[in-house]
Amino acid sequence: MQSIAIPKLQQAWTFKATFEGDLPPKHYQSPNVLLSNPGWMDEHFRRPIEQLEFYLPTGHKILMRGFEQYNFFLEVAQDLGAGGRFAIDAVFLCGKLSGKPVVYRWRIGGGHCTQDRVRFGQEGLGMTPSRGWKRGVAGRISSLVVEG
Amino acid sequence: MAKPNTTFLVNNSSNDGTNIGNAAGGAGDASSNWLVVDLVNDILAFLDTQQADGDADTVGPYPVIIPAAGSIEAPKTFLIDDSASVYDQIPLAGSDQGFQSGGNTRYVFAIYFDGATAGIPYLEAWDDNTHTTIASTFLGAGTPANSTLKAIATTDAAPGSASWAGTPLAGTGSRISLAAAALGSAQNVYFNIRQVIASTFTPLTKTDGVLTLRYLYS
Repeated sequence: MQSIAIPKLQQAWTFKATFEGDLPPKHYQSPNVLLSNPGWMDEHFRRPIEQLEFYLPTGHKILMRGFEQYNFFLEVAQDLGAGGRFAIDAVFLCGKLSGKPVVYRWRIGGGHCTQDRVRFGQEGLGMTPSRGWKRGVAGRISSLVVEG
Repeated sequence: MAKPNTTFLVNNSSNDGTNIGNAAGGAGDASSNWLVVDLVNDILAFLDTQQADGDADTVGPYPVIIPAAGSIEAPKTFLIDDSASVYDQIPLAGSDQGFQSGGNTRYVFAIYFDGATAGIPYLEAWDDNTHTTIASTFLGAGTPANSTLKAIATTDAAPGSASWAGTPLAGTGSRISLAAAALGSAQNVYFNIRQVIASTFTPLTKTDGVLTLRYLYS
């Protein structure tokens, strides 16, 4: 069977969750999260996440693995006044360390991609909790940007 | 969780009741009445007593008169309804320091979410829709505590006092959370807002300021 090559930039603004074990489905591949329902909350992930990747519009990707839990969400702003602008301001990927209340948090927005560390339960807006955490496979952690 | 759709509404009655029509608004609980805000064309305005409910939008606006001493709460609050071309008063807006029916009122401004969120929703104020500055004197000229806009979340309870002070709104540094936790399902969140002008305020009109709802979804 022939495979279809997909230019890596076509994967921009999507994430891929890879699950533990060999049983299908091995992955959940999101649609473009800026244009469609990301599916993070709606999809029922039956097995823990082994690895979470987010594809950047530069052709790079963020790779997270080894975390006890993962979360993904988008930050949006809706204005009242001055034209009622709606905007997606940022995309967040979070990984919670095993046994510690520490979250590695990536923020992609405003032309920047940054990582910081916050206390678990303070990863949301205004240092508040987020919902939607999913189980991961704890191990040696990776949290870095690599070639896509 | 898809992105929830949000609908801003104002209660244009003097009756303090919930928005049971959700995104459609209309007749609410306790004879309240909820008007859906057109976020593109409608304008929230804080004005003087001379402005009357139902005035055509060609009348006025009558701005707040800066007091000789101390400070004053903007006497009346309106939604300038573009489709109806009128000033539609929001009588329950503000505290009892204004000149309408505000006070310990709970159901005044609403935002209806038709689904869950991934985090607590916030209400902010910015100079304009780029959300980069809070330099306007309306927002405290860089000192959030001096912002003229004071808001209070009433989703879970009334303010507790008819003369509530509210939290100054200016950027992300001074904003209000509209719920105690991420929304687990569709619901309304409620708040009240007032504008307080001090005697030291320099006359100014600002039309590009925004109130911003910020939230998370996944």
